Amino acid sequence: MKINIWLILVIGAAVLSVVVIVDNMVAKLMGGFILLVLLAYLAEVSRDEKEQIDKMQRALDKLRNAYSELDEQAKIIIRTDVELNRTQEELDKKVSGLYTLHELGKLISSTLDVNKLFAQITEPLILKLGFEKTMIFLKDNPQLPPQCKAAIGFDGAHIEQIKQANITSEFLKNVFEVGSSVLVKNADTANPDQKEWLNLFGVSAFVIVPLVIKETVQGYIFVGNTSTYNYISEGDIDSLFILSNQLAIALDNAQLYAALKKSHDQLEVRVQERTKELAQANKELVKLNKMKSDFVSAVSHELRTPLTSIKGYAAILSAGRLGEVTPVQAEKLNKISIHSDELVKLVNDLLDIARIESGKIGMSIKHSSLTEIIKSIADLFYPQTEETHIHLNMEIPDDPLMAWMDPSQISRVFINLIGNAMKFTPSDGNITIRVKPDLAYINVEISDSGIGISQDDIPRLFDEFYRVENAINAEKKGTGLGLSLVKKIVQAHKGTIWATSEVGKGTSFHFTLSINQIEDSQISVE
Amino acid sequence: MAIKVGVGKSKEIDSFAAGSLAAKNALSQLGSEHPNLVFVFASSRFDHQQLIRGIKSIISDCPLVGCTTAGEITSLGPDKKSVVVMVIESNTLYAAVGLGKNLSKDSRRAGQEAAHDTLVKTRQGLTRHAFMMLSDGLKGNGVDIIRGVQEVLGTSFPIVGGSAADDFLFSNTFQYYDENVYQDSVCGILFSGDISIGIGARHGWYPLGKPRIVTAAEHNIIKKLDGKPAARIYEDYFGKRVADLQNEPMARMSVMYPLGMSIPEEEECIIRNAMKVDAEGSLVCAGEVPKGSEIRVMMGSKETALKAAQKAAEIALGALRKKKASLVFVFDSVSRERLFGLKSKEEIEVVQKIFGPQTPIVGFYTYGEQAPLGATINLGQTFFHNETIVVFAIGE
Repeated sequence: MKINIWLILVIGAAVLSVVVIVDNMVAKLMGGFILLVLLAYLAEVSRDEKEQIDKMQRALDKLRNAYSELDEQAKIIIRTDVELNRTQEELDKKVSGLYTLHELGKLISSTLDVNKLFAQITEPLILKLGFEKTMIFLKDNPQLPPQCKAAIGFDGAHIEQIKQANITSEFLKNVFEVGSSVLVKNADTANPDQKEWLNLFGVSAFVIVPLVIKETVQGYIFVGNTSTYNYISEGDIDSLFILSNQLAIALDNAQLYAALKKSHDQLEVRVQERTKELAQANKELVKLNKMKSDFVSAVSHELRTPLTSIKGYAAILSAGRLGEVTPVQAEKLNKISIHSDELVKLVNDLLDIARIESGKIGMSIKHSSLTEIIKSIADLFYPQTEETHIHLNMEIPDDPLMAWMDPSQISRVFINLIGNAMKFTPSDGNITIRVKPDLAYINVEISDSGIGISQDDIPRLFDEFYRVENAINAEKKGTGLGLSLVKKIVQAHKGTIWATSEVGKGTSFHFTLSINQIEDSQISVE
Repeated sequence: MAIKVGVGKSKEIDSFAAGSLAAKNALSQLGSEHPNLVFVFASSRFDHQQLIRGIKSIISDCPLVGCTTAGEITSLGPDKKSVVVMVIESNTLYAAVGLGKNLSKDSRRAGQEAAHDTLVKTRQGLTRHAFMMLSDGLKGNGVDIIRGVQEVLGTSFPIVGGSAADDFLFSNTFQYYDENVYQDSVCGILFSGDISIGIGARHGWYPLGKPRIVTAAEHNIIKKLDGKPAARIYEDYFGKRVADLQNEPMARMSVMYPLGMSIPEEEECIIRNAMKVDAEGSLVCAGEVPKGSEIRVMMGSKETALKAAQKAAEIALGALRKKKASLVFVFDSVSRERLFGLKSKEEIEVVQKIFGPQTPIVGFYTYGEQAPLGATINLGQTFFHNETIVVFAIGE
């Protein structure tokens, strides 16, 4: 277009020069006409150009508008995206928080030890909840300020510094009185009290939630972040309340358990104390029993000496060495002798029991033949059985039986038991000695067909001085020490003795003797 | 022998114990007592001098480099508050280490020093492959460090690395160099020898809305966009929510919606994280933004970011030209860790999957990443990135 304008101007200039040079009327007219045509063309051309420029301007405006609109749309997209991201972030945090809380809940509810419980709250778990630092404070005593029970993300010196700082503040009072939480998002919005906390704990934001146990605030959880990148929001308070609830339940359980355990322990101590007391009483009793045995032993010794003298003098008197003895005197002297003998026997039995009990009796345990003992006993009782027409039967194995025993003491057992049987068995009655060897023991049974013993008396048969009340006992004298002595001897051989009986049918005494060797040291009587 | 690698990790509370345990674990995996080089990536929570003493108590006669992080990466995935020790023993891979100090005084000079240090220690005749830098992520100008290194090693020499971090505290980062702990410094490692390397860097964010021109800027501070205070761009896009988000740090918002700086001929924009808004309404970025740059707001999602990680790993593997990767470094932006949150492990798994389960991976979450744009075979120039994952593979 510009070329055209130049062309027109050149042509115009040429025409004008021709007009000036030629200076002729026709030429002037012609020149004027051509100039007019040229000017008209020029006007037309410039009008076209303006239209085109306008058109382009409009297109440019349209484009500019579209661009602005696009930019506005970009703004909307960004704002929507901001919203979306914030929501997503909150959601992610919440989901991971809940997952972590679930994990933590399982861990802390599985322990009943308060200290172990706090140890379950570890740094990785707290980091997963979205926090860098945590401190848990709990009152040991309602009157005292809360103590730091757990600290995560702090170094030792810093923990000490916080403990020393003895923190108290208005907002903490609210936590304890109302059970409210505290959120400090950053230093700009914090009050001076809260700023002090930010500095002390070295964080840029923090939350405090109360620990409510049994409807009272007993402590609080502090969590904070150092980096301003890790912001803390209202949504975090919800998660922390869940954590504080879990912790409170676990703490309550642990406290209950501790109380239960304490009372259980106290009971245990009391049981132990009582057991100790009983053991002490038992010891006293044993001591008293020994004193009794010692006393009996001493007294018996003291009695035996004068008794021997009495018997001796009675014998001298009845022998008439000190002068004539009238038949009446002789009869009385005989009675003195008989009663002295009974007294001596009583004293001897007492002495034996006391000796066995105190372990003073010298048992000479050796591997001896039971068959031999039984045979000699049978010989011993032969005259008596002949006289009373009582049959003494023996059911013993043919092979000689050997057992570990003191033959003289075991002979005493047989003599006592057979003697008793003879006493309570009527003429033509039977006494049977039955011997059955077992794996470790020989069972000996001495049964009679006597009057029998009532069931009520059986448990007390072996007590010292116990005498069954019956017609025979009323007539025949006895010390009431025989069975007691027998029991002590059997026990001294590590054997057991017991009786079975049926009134009117007879009585059986059973005792055991050891086949295996008994050490002398084992010989004692309970 | 080729290239042997051992990786050890520890989360011990005590710094010395953590260092020695991680070192022991690394050595036992290496199966040798004499590594040629030790890398240490550790949480800022440690007493760093004690940590290094712990490591040195196990591995004493071997160069050591490393830095603090905002999360440590191994083949097991990302972790926090741990120390990762990697030991390398090789007769094909040569690594020379260097140090540049006083970044805040002169970043460019520090870059030159670190590069020069490594260059003089590298034997003549060895093929030089790449320079790795581990610099203070809170001090100095990362772009200037790169310039300094380029002045020594060449403009198109591949530079990779990550800026040291401090567990999101943004107060102090540390650099480890032999038995010492530094701040305000950059560690350099020059890799040479009969090896091949592959570098991939991607972010996955895409631009949205109108481009704006930086009309006033100073280093990493964008003062004016289209003649208006720079922070207005965020006010514009976030509308009324700016008031709601006022209490939240700018950096949080900028993680999701960073600024993109377009680079001619490149597929992706370079990302700049706006860390904070200053009193004049300027945007303070994690990386330099030159005047005249075209800036747009970027938007991303976990899916696109995950695809970007896969792409970065694929590019790195591709550049190895069918050679097997002996070890892989990952320099991953803290922003990505934030973006992925609980799913950050997935990003590392994606990388591991590309290289195979046997390839050891180490790295950390950074306050800035350095890598050339495009594959290394294009001899692309190195840039300073934000919100980017850099995958650096060494193969033979």
